[in-house]
Amino acid sequence: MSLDLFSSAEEARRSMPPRSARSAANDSLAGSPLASLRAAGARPGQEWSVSEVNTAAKELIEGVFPPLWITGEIANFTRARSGHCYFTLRDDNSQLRCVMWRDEARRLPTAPEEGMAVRGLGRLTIYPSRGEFQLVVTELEGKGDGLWKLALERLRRKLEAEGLTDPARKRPLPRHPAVVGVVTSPSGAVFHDIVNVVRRRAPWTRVVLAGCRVQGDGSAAEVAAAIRLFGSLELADVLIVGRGGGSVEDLWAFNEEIVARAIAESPIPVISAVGHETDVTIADLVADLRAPTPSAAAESAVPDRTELARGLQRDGWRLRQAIAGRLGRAQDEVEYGRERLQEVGSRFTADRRERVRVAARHLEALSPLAAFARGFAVPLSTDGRIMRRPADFTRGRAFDLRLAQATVPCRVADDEEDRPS
Amino acid sequence: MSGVDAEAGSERLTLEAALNRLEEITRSLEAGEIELDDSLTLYEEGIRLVRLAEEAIRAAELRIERLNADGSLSGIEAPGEGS
Repeated sequence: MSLDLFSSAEEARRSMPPRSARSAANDSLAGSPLASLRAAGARPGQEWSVSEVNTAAKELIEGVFPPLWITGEIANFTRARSGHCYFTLRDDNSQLRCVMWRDEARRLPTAPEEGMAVRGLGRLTIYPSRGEFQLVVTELEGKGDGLWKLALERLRRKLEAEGLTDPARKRPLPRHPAVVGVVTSPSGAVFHDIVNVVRRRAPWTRVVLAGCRVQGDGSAAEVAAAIRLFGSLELADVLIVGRGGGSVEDLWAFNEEIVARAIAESPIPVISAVGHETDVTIADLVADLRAPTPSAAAESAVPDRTELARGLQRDGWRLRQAIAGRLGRAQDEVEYGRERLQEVGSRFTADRRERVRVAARHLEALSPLAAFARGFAVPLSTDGRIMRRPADFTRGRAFDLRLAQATVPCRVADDEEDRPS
Repeated sequence: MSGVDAEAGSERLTLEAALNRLEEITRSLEAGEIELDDSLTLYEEGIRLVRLAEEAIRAAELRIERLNADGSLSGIEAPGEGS
């Protein structure tokens, strides 16, 4: 199919049919239904079956019209169980039945909405068994990427409803990954950029690339498989998933559900870096971090060695400060302990002094010397015992009388006469 | 890092783990509610971690590998410097 076809059906109608009609007529093989029909015409007695007529008409139509881009609005779009899609293209005045076979329909980002402005590339034909004039569409596009936007919107809503785009789901990235996994094309500039940034910032890091196609049929499955492979091996601490800029169709793998789910289910945090800053894909919405460019993704993934070295210096300083503080406090504690000990010790001594004084006073009160001072005397036997009972004073017995200042030798009188009168 | 572990798992997270542990140590030392003996032990561990981390980030040849579909790894040439 040539690509410089008509931008509108109008133009096609103006320029194509006469020329094509001529060539179609000339090219028709002799013996085809159309050729016989033309040759025999409406001769009297000549009859044609419905099949012959429909088949001839089909041949004519297909021979005359080249593939055309046709604009219109979608009506009654249905996808049969077989995968084939049926719909009508219409404008204000006319309708055209359309069919899109399964293989082509599979490439549609999503089913168009009723009334959606589209353009379809297709060949006009007649479906002989029904005698229906129809367009067999091979490509269908929404106006202004409408179909892609619709598909994106539908998937976004679906994932949103499941909570997969919830910002609260986003996980923090490791600050110092040892292994950075990259899912992108091995040949593009993306990997190159990422490697350069990691080499500059954190050259001790391992970079592991899972190369895959990032556009075209089957690329979404490859991207998803690569993400899942990293996850199942728990091979990396953080993943960068992305590709360079391109058309909405080029970026489409990153808007597919299979990729979105692989990212959402990845046990490893994912940074997305798809296209340019203005392109927001579904992958960006479910990723733990969306980076505007591959280089920015790499910068988010690994720390900067200079900053890290400065941080380590600071950590060392903080440790020394902290331990110095702790030691200082320990010294203070020792000092305080000593003071308390002294205080307790001195209190203890004062206490004891007081107790000695009190005891001394008691002792003093008990001392017989105090009684002597008041004029009392104590008789002591010659062997030094206090003589307390009258029986101790037998007649003529010598004893000592102890006074305050002296001891006086005495004798108990022998008889009554000895008593001084 | 001292004794790069043969076991991939523990090798991988060494720097992250070391720095997290370092952060933890620094915080608890700064909080100062730890016995002196334990503080000194922590301090020594912290300083050792700083040294290890400094050592680890000095080692400098970027390693680039390819992850194959069967899960195996193969070394690949680094894309050249500059863009």
